[in-house]
Order: sequence, then structure tokens, then C-alpha cells
Amino acid sequence: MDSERNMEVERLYLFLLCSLPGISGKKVRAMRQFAGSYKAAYELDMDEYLKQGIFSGRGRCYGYRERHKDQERLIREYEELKSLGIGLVAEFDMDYPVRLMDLEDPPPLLFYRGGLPRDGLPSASVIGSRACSGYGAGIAARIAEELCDAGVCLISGMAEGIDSAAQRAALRKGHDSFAILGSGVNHCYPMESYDIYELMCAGQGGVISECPVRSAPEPWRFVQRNRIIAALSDVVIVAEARKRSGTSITVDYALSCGREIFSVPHRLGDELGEGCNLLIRDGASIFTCTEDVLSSGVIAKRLSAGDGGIRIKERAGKKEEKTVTSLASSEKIVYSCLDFNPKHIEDIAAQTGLGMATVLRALLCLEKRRLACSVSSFYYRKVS
Amino acid sequence: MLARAMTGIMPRLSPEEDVDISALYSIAGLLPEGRPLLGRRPFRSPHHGIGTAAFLGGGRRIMPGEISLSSGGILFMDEFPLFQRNILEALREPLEQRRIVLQRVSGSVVYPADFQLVAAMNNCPCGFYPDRSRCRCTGAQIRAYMGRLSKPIVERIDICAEARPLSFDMFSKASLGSSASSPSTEAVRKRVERVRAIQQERFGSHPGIRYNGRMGPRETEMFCRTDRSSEKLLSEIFAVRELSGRTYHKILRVARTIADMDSSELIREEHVLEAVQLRSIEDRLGAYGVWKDAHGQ
Repeated sequence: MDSERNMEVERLYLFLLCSLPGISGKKVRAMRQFAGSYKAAYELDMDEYLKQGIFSGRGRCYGYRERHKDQERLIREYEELKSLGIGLVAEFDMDYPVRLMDLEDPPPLLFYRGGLPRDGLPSASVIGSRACSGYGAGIAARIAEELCDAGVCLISGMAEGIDSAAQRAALRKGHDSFAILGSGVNHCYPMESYDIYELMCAGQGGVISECPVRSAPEPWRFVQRNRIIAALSDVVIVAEARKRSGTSITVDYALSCGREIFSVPHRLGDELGEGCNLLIRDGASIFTCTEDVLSSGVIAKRLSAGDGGIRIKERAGKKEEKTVTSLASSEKIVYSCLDFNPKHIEDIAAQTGLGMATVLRALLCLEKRRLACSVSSFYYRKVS
Repeated sequence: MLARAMTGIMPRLSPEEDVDISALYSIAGLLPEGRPLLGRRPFRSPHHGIGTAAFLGGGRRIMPGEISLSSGGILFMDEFPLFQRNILEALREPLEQRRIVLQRVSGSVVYPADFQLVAAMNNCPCGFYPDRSRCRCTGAQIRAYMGRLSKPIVERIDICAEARPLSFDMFSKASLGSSASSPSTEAVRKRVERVRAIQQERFGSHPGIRYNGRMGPRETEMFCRTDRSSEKLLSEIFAVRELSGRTYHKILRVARTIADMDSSELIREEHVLEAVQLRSIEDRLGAYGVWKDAHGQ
């Protein structure tokens, strides 16, 4: 009983410390280690920390020096969190995600809406560029769907491009997914992902952030958030990334946590997928199909501990093969001419030698079966 | 270049039209010296920085603006989304009513605005989208660029075609003037006049409608008869593409014209298929008027 109240007090002081501007989670951890508890850490005089070298100079600890000014407002905010539907989980709580402990500096406090990923369930993240090709987005969506069907929980960052394509696909199929934000949990960024943000906040998975509720998205926060994405997932799958991409930050963190990296191979000369090929050269596992991930170490272990969801996936694979073989001959010819890169209908007609009307008819049929899609008025591409 | 060539394929100017157009040019003081008539279809291409009064008409003596000066000819708006927002939105009424009412304290004036609108634009600020290996625009930038066009404006545009990047091969061939592959302007104009004649016959008893583009929903239902297979095709297309009712009529109208060019009484499958390719871009506008990206996500 007493320890429970103690924890409640500790959580409040941890919240206060984490809300101070200019003080990182790493610093909060060091302060606590020195003072013994978060309460003591909050009440300690600034000079003590300066002596210890925890604060490197007076200018650096402005937020800490002025901490009593905002204290009342922050306490009020703390009490309001529950009514806003925002949960708090501190590193000493039972439901704090264990996987985060693999990080060098696990976030001492997490804010979340919806729920938190369960420790026993396998998890994977599908990541990649924001400016992605249609092919990349399609691949990401398919990987996400197949993984979720097999019972893997999808972690991602809700960012534009690959991230949101993967999460949208998982959520649309009714699976849970978790988004780690680089802003406060009440701040949906990017705005275009609001549809999936809403679903996750409503409890189909959850939205997690270590930033104070009101923080706006700032570039440096995204680097920090990438480390949480990396740590929360058992494997990281890179769907499409350029040579120099923010994705490499997540990959580096994942490696330092001992996570397995899968990378989708891309064509040589394809600028958008160059980063993926470089990852493979540097030792990442090659992603050829979802089975590769499902049979990899940690995921396989966690899946066999739970129920066998893999069967569902096998069935889906067979169905798809059937649709391609049941196509009419002209459709088959057009389909084999299509590429993952958009092609102009005149090129398709010229290459297949079919009349324009036949080509358009075939494309419409392929579109109906979701084997092709029109990118813009005259361009079509294969759906992955 | 293409837009300028379009005045050449429009039907020959009738003497009545010439007088109407020349009267406007006379008001604006734009008639060439020593010539009482303009004698050709106007082609106007205002710069995208143009102001409202110059575009719609106005001023102290209420002069005709670009939309009136292009009446009977072509109004070409290059870099379409870069025009001021209020100018883009001001196109709504003239496009429907074919005239503009200018009301000022000094009085009100009605000028004709019966122009053929031709607009050109890029897919994104840099122009390479959806080729993502070259286009580095962010999604927000692309949406902001495309978002300058509102749905009502996009819906009023009947035909939309995407130009493909020219390879050097095609370019050099074109400049050598190989007339074998591309028909001359004169031949195309003859075809246009033939189709116009068919349409004049069709709308003989319908005052106010001279050609397919002017058909309202009721006339569209009346004149755009399809054969059974193309009707089935249309319903399939609508299921796949999730198109609106307005777009349905637009596709029918364009298909009607393509059938006319084929001298076909009924709209057949191939006409519908071609018309669908030429539909405008409004189905890329998602909920709340936000532009969807080309991934179909």
C-alpha cells in the first residue's frame, strides 16, 4: 500500500522532471541515480549537480533552475492527463515495455493513447523513405498485412510514405498497430495520417511518445523517436530507402539493440532503393517473402509460444496465384508487359502489339482484380 | 506551342463571329491599324501574375478582360495553379454561363466570355512527380501545389491528358516535320468541322446548344446512347474507379464526341474506354479536397 503511494509520488516527480525544457531523458536518469529517487532529484539544489558534472554549466540548466515557476501548471496538467485519455508509464512500472531496456538510454517516461504493445507478442517495424515510389508503398503495405495476419504486431512512425502505407494497410485489415511519435501524443504529425492516428488512439493499437503532451514536432525529436521504434520491434524491415536516409538512424539503433534487420532488395540503378541494397551488402538479411521474417529467430520463438497464425498467410498466397492464371490471354500479355514503374499506355500497346482498345480493356480488367493500377491519366503500373 | 496550334484546328470563323470578336477588340482598342475586322480566332495567354481586373474585365471605363478577349477563341493559362486563387475561382461562372457580368458603381456591363479554356500545369513544384527518383518534393508541397485547384474548377474541365517526357529521338523526328505520323493542322480542322456539322444536325431543335460540350445532364441522357456492352463497361469502370455522377456525364459527353469522330450513331466500347482515359483529375481528390498521391493509398 505504502509502496504504491510511493510510486504515485515518484511518477509525478518524474513527470515534472521530464517536462522541464532542455533536460533529456538521459539526464533525468543520471539525476535520479545521484539523488536516489525522482522526488529527491527534483528537490536537490542545482549546485550539487554542477559539482557532480551532471550539468555541464549554469547556462545549460535553465529549465531546472526555473522549475518552480511552472510547477503548479504542470501539476494541474498531470491531473488532467487521465481525463484526456492519455496514459503514463514510467520505467519502474510493471507494464513498461521490456524491449526498451535494450536501449542504452531507455526513455524514463512514456506517454500513450490507446494501448501499449504486449511484451510476449512478436513485433516488427516496416520503415523506409517518406518520398517513396508506388512500388515501395505497395511492398510495405503487403509486408505489413502478411505479418499482421500471421500474428505479428506492427510498429512504425506514422510518417509519410513507407511508414504510413504499412500502418494504414495493417489497420485497414483490422489489426493492431503502434505508432511512435516525434511530437506529443496529442499532436498528430503528419496531418495526412490523421485517419490512422484516430484509429490507434481509439484503441486499435496505440500512439506512444516520450515527449511532453504539448510538444510540437521538431527534427531532433524524430531521431530520438527512431530509437524507440528500433527497440520496440523484434525485427526491422527496410522496404525502400535512398543511400542517405533517416532510415539508417533507425537501423543503427536497431543493431545496437541486437535486432535483426531485413532489407528488401531493389534493382541496381534504382536510386530510391539504393540504401536497401547497401544494407544487404553490409550484412542485413535479405527479404524475399514474409516467411523469411516469420521463421527468423525471435519472431519464430514468440510465435510458437503463442497461437499458430501462419496458416492464414499460406492460404492467402495460394489465392493470389490463382487469379493470375485465370486471366484471359490478352490480359496476360498486358500484365506481363507491365512493370512496377509506371508505363504509358502507348508503350504498352506498342510493346504488346495489341490494339489500343484491347489494351485499355485488359488494363481495366487488371485494375478490377487489383493486379494493376493507374498512376495518372495515361500511366499504369503493376500492383505488388 | 500545342495550345497555340489549337486555334488552327477550330472551325473557320464565320462572318458573324468575326464581327462579334472584332467589336470587343475595338472596345479594347486592340484592333490592328487600318483593319476593321480581326479576321482570325483570338489566342490569349495571360501571364500567371495577372490581376483580377485585367483578367475578368474592369477599370474606370469597364473594359473587357482576358476572358472576354479570348471569346470565340482560346484562353491559354500556362502554369495553371500559379494564378491567383481568386482568379482561378472566378472562372467558375464564366465557364458555366459563357459571359461575365461586371458590376461597378458607374454601371454594369455584360461581356461575352465564350472561350475554350486550355490550361497547362506540372504535377508538382519541381515537375518530376511521380518519378520519385528525381522528384524530391515532400507530400505536403505536392498537396499544396495541387490543392490550389479546387474541385469545382477541376470538375469543369472535360479533358485531361498527361504529356510524356520527350526523348531526343522523338524530338528530332518532330522537328524534321515527318508529316507521315502526325496529320497537318489543316486536316485536323477539316475533321473538326465534319464533327461540328454532325453535332449541329443533332442539336438543331435545341437552341443554345451548338455542340456536345454544351449538353446539360438531360441532353446527355437523351443523346448519349450507348450499346449494351459499353453500358456494362461503364458500370464496371464506375465500380473500379469510384467516380461521381458529374464525372459520369462528362465521360459520356467526351465519348459522344469520340463516337462522332468515328461517325458512329451509338457510343461503342472503344469510345468509352478512350473517354475514360481522358477524364479529368478530380478522382485524385480525396476526402476534404485533399489530393491523394499517385500510390493509390
